Amino acid sequence: MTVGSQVATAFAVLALALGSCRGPVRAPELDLDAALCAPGAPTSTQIVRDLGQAGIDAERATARGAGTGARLAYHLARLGKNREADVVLAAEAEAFPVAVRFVSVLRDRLLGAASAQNPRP
Amino acid sequence: MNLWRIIGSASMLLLGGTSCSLTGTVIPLAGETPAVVLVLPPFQTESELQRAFLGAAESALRQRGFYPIPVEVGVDLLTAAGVTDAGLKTPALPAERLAAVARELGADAVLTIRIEEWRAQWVPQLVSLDYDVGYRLWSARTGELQWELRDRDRWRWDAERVRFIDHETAFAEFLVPPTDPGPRAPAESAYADPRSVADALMRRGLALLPPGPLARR
Repeated sequence: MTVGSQVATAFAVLALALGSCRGPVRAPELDLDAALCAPGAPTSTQIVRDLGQAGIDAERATARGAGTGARLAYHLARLGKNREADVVLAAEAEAFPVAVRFVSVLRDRLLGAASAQNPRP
Repeated sequence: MNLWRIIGSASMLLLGGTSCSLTGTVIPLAGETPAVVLVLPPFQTESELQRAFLGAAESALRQRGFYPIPVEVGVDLLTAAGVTDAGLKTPALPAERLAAVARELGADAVLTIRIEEWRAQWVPQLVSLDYDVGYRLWSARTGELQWELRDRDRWRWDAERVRFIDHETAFAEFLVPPTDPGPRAPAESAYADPRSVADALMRRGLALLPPGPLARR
């Protein structure tokens, strides 16, 4: 077994161990589940519930096309859920590198002081 | 406008005339293909139609492989920038100002929509529609007009199908891509409100743009 295939196997095992994080990344779509699997991140169930309580069609909001992460983060920030918004924006920037500049502007507008305390490269 | 763009416009007109797919004028995309597109609320029209076209534009841009700034986010950012008021009233800004606002928000281009005419009748299904809608894409980098489409036509329900007045293309055939047989009549269809018709018009209109950078290869 080559080093490359060993690394691939290790990643496959890790992905399986992470349970709901498994599955192929469907670029260029937002991999929200993967983002939300980060330690301390909210679960997608929580986000759907929070948005639902705010009267936002959470099922539609969790579709993963371009701009979905921005929309989710916008609504989360309006609900005061800045940490969740930050996680989703990071995932959006990763999934859609063409929109990094816009996501960065949005992050500054939505999170303001919070983003200054915890700047992203 | 350079010679190639004029030739391109003439070709598109000819194409539209022979296929009956669009009645209007198209100026092909010039310059760099944008990725992130900010959509301005349509000028000079009522709020319901503005929202219908805003939502339709977002959806159509995404389908075409662009990154649309979500409607509510864009409207909020435009309001904060003093461009749009709470009632979505948006003045036609000079191109330079429009470009500056777009750059500040991290967009590559701005899509503006002008609804010159919109007379639709639903009883309860769509029985007639006279429309004249213009779309323009402006570069955020240069402030120049990159692409333009003027789409206008008249449709009438003829007891079997909605047809164009001036030719025989059926409404559903116009609205639905050839691979999808689509509904035969508006009564069976999803074209039950301005949003659904706006969706179809925007989808067809933006199909004349080259695919965006996120289009599936």
